[in-house]
Amino acid sequence: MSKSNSPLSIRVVSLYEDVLNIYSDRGNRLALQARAVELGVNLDVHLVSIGDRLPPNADLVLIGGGQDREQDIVAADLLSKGETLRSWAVANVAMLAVCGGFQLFGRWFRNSRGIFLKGIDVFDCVSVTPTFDNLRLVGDVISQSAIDGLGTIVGYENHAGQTFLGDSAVPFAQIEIGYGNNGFDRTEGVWRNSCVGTYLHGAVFPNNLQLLDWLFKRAIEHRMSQDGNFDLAVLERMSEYSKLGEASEFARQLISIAVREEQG
Amino acid sequence: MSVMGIFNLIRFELAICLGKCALLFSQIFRRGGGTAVSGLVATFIQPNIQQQISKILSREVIFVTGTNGKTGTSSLISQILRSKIDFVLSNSSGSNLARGVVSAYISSLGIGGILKRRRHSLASVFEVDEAVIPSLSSRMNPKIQVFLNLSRDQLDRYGEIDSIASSWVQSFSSDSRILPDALVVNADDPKLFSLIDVGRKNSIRTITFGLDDSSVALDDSFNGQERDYCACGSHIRYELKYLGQSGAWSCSSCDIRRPAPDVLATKVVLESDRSYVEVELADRSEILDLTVHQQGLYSVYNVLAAISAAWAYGIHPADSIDVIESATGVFGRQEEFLFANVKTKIWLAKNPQGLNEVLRTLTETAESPLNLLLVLNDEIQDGRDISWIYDANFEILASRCKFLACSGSRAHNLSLRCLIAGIPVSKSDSNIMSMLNFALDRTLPTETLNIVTTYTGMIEIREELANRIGISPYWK
Repeated sequence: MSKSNSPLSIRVVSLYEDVLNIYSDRGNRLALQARAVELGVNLDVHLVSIGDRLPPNADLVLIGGGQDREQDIVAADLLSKGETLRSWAVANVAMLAVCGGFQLFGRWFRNSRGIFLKGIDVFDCVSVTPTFDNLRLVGDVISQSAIDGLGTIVGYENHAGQTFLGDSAVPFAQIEIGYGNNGFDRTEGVWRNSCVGTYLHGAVFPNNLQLLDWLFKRAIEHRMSQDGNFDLAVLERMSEYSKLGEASEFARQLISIAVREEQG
Repeated sequence: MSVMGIFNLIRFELAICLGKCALLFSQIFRRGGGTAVSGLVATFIQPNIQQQISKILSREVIFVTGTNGKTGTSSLISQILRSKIDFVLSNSSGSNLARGVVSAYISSLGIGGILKRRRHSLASVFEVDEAVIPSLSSRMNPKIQVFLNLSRDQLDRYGEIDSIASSWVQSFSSDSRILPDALVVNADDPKLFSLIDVGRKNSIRTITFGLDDSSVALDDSFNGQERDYCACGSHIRYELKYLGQSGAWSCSSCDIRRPAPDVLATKVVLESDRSYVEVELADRSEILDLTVHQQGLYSVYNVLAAISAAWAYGIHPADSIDVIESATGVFGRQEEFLFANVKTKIWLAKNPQGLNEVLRTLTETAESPLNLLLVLNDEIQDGRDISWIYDANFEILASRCKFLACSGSRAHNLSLRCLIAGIPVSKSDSNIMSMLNFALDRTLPTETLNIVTTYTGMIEIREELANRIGISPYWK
């Protein structure tokens, strides 16, 4: 998987892809790799799972979602990596945490059996699965990102856990159509430094290349802060025409139109 | 008969009668063959109609469920049974919710059939949706239940797959229901092990089937490799993996492992239009050689399941061979249409494991570059959430296609997926008919156009192709 260890490569850590992938979140890694090919950036991808050690540093971290059982399985292992991931988050490493991974990146998560799982405190939020009914928050989502320039973010959500943000937390987006974090406060996900937590799959990167590019840019900046010789032309190429960009934008617009039409 | 009894009987006859009318109406006005609507009408008039039908069918009922292969396997079982039994009822068009069972019963009755209902030498084979199994089996008490496999499919409807597996197991512990005489379970799928376990604990006869041939195992490079977990919490290890999470498995810490299959394929050869299978029976009574006129490993599993189900019903596997060997693709599942010397083949694929197996079959057995039309719709029957395409291995199509066209309401997502996989897309358009014509125009005589589609796309394309060559667009 790892293509190059030269200083000009961006190190990506994809966490528990073999366990947390219930809604195909590995699509985010695939999209990232395709985008890197288009931009001519080397990626050094590390698939890190249970019992594996984190590499000494990273520029971008990905984690997906899973069912209760899979969350149980990774929770303890993730705690052992928690301190490192927290320090990375503070140091502006880019991160995307989706659904079950997003929940475990918060303070704690109570699952459908009422069991508390300790999170790793990257985000100031808590998540609770109501135990009294089987209500799931399922469906298309259209939201407006709080991050400057990202605009409309589309995706699909399917979760039983409801997330509530703490006082210091900033939502990643405002819900236009869909449930979002909890179905009550119209917030979707969370944003801190270069880290984004979200309930959106679909997968979220392919249909929202502007989010991918934003995190990619943050990852490149992080790499530059470590060794300053990165070719800045890459950042310029991001705003140029690309096949992937065109296809992604087309998909995003068609999805927004279709979902809005359906909502009447 | 009590007043209540007479009332129920009248209500039942009325339900059947109006259901039949609904069926005729929808066929006349061509609303999708009417396979579901007649059951819907009848169930509305008589909510517990399934129990009454079950009594008429005198428990000679086989249920087939699983993520992939329900329709193909049910069709094989029905055909085997038909060689021995006067009348076999089935919901062969794939309408597999509770109302589909009712519809199948109604459509089996002729116009005058409301009066002369068959009651002799009768068996029924129903494919049943994964989520409907617990409620429908407690109402109909099937004699045999067949479990094919379980993987991610339509999670927007089902939530999580673990809850499906546990609902199946729990359906056997409910006091109110009569347990089946036999279970038929795929031993290679670790997600189904708890069923084998519950079957044995309840002294239900349990027939297992599986594969044992390293030549058809997946190699490690095939992506979408995921861990599966044993009930004890440790991960499952594989000596060999055949498709998805199915293979020769064992738990990495406790002593649970794949049970020795009672019906075991010891040799499998996959070719471009057929498969050769050598089957060994646990009682060592016989080794069977079969030629299956279907492609891919799923059809081999379907055949093993059908042989096992017929065996559970009392038909020895040796007596199933003739039927198996003469069976071909059913209703949009590897179904072929030939006109103007161009062969068109429809492959139904609506979840990652199903699609992976179709793509593997196409790329491994194709003799020349593929003419490929992919169709992705997002109606309720297809699954509203199309995220799963990122779990399917489109990457293996690299440099295998003469052309690749994308269509369906989610054509744009499909072509984006192909782009991410590095596969060039010849053309993409949501209009299925225009892309069908595009693909047919580019398929030369004697070549094959392979159409891989989700459910509603299959129905639309099948109807169009059937009309062009002048056969019934509906399941008769």
